[in-house]
Amino acid sequence: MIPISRRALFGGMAGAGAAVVLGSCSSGGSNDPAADQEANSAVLPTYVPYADVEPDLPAELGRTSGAFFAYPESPVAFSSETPGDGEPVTFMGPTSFGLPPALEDNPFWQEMNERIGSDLQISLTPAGEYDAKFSTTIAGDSLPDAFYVGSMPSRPRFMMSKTADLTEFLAGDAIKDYPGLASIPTDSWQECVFEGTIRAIPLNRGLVSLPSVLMRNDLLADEGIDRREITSFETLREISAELTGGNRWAWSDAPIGHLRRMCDIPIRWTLEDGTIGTNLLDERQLEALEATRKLVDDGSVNPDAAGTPASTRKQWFGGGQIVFMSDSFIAWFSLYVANARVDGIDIQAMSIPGMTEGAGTQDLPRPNAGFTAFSADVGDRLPTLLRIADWLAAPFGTEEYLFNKYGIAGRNYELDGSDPVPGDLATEVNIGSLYFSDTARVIYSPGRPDTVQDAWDHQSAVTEKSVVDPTYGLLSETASRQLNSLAGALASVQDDIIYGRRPVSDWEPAAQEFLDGGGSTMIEEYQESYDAQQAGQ
Amino acid sequence: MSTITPTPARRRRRRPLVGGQLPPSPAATVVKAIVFSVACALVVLPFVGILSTSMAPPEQVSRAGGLVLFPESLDFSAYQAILSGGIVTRALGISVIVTVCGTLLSLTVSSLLAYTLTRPALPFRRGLTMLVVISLFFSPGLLPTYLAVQSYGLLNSLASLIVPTALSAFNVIVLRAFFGSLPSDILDAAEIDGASEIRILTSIVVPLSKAALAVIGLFYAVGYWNAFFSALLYLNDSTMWPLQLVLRTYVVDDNAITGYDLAAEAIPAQPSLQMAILVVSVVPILLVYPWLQKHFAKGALTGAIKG
Repeated sequence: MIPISRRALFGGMAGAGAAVVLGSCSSGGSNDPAADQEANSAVLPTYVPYADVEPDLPAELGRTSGAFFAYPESPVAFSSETPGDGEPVTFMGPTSFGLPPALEDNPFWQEMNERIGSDLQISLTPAGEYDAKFSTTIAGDSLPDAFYVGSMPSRPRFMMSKTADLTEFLAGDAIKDYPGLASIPTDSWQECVFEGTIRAIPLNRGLVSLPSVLMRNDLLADEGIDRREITSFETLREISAELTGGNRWAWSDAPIGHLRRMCDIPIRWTLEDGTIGTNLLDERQLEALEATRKLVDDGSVNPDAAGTPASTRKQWFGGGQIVFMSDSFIAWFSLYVANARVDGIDIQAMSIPGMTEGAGTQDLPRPNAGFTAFSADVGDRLPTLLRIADWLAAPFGTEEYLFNKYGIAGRNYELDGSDPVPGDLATEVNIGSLYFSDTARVIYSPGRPDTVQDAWDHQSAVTEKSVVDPTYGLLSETASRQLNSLAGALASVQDDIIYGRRPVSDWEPAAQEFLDGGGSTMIEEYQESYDAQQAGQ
Repeated sequence: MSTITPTPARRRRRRPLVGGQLPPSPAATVVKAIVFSVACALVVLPFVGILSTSMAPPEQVSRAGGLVLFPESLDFSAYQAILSGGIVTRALGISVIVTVCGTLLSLTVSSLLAYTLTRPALPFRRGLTMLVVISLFFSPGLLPTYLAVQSYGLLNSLASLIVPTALSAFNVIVLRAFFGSLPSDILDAAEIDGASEIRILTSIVVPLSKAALAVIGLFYAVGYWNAFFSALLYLNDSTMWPLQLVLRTYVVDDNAITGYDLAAEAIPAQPSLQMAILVVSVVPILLVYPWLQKHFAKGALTGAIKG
């Protein structure tokens, strides 16, 4: 008789349980990433920019978003048809806003249902908890008609077994039947293709998610500082020290991301001469860490920065307790709205100089904020659901966009010229429909044409020298399983170094551990996928 | 010949004994006082900060960058705002309903099971008790519980926040021990007088077990009051969210609180609102403790040491 310890028995039971769960999601699909990559490229939808609305400042892929100084005077109608079929449509998604009023107390939601022609039954979960909710819903086999796809291990298997195949409706020129979805750039769709089939629709954010450092330019001006004086790390350090004093600090956070951009290593993965690699062991990593430590040691970083939530940091920004804040480019506009009562507030984004001279490198964000899929059980309702998604993705400048994003005129917003100005009931609009489907984002700040110009100019300037994540759209099974945990461990060492709890020399062993623990395997798998992608083009 | 005269032994002055033991030296007393004061301050200061921030004027909160220890004046606008009929007020009401109904149900089913397990006439009594004990060590886990809630049709109902946790094996074991310690003569006498089992339970066992029931009731109440994860998983309709899930949304996940959420005209500073929600979520359960304190020692100890 083979002796089995109690520990071994329970371990075996746990393993068997996991196997059953994964097995139920198995697609039995291809195990050849190269073939998958080739098939994925073949079905990408055709990009057809929406022609009825022309931006004031043009969009250029990888360089600038389209920009509008004002909302068009006479918004065009995107569609003359009601997309729904009269039957309710269930949707589950995350939210980063406060809770919207319930349907019976929400005239905007009622109006939206009327215009769509189907009742949108939306279940929202706070973004931080969405993955837990999503996992249990999958386990209970109670997925709604449409759902935001949360994080999970073995996502490709799930997508192949539990979501509807959209290829027939969206691949190539077929997407032209859905002009809203067709106006989403092609790079967004790469994330939605699995084993040669389209399984989701992207929630495009594009360049408005550009990682940036926003600054209170009015506070700089009060100190007689011109932001263009920031031309190297030394000038940045001096200005940071000058701005710090009393109840004010230069930085809301230790700006390791910005300093990596100044060191030309904003993204850990690299692509040189067709070879995927990493810069984790590059000496410039130590330089960026050392520079960040200096800012912390100088006292230029708010001492409460570590672990402080974003809303508090934004309050510091509005209250003038800090001058520089790392955030997404799009926050530029929301910070104006949140601090409308701050006299003379002038927000700008920091340029990216090199460490000693010249220009640093801007990292371009991944194009999507996630993607939405439809349950495999929706059957012949799929075209209806896609029509609704298309309607919700009505481009900027249309009547439908104005309604979807700003609500009912006279209730949720008032018009100032042609610009919608949100009122007290603007939160009725936050029903979560933008996680169902959304159009490509543009630069627009109602009533602030100068800000629009500044923002577009900033995008245009920093993207002159930029880099994309070379692993975007590539497949790595190891990364889907291990990247988050390995990156988390490395980030923990990074924080310890920045705040002086460990020496800078601890970085290299930690980076090596990242690579030995799975990073090197990821590079190999990405390389294989990249080669297949190149061969397919 | 010289004689050695013994030096008289120096008599040490001894401090008087207190309670049969040497009292600590003044230096030790000072050190202990400092250590305990610092420890107390570490525990109390965050609470003071929360309370002060919730009552501080908005300008001071903004100036301080979020957290205030000593408010310049008292401003209750954050409390007025969150208790003015919006989402927080509704969630507070739901939490009260779930906690009260849940605790009553839990006490009822726990008492019935615990009493049953103490009755000598119960067939397979030891085996049944063992089943309860086994459930204490082996939790079914998240997914099986979710599937059970789903299959009973409880999803998206307040019952899903109560039924799955209505019975705690630990609390049943504690209650069983307490019931078992009651004098059997009284129960036998009642039985001879013709009282039914339900009558014995309600008229004799429960009145004699107020201390244990108070403690167990508090355990259940705190559990229901603090539960947010079950609401997150089982409720799709956010109008049914209890206070702890709303607290998590606005304080932990840091979503902005808007005018609609509060049904208030003026919106105070966000940190004040967050801290006010925190206070409202903590105070009700904190207030229950003093009322039940007198039962604690007796109820908890009796259940703990008699098996």
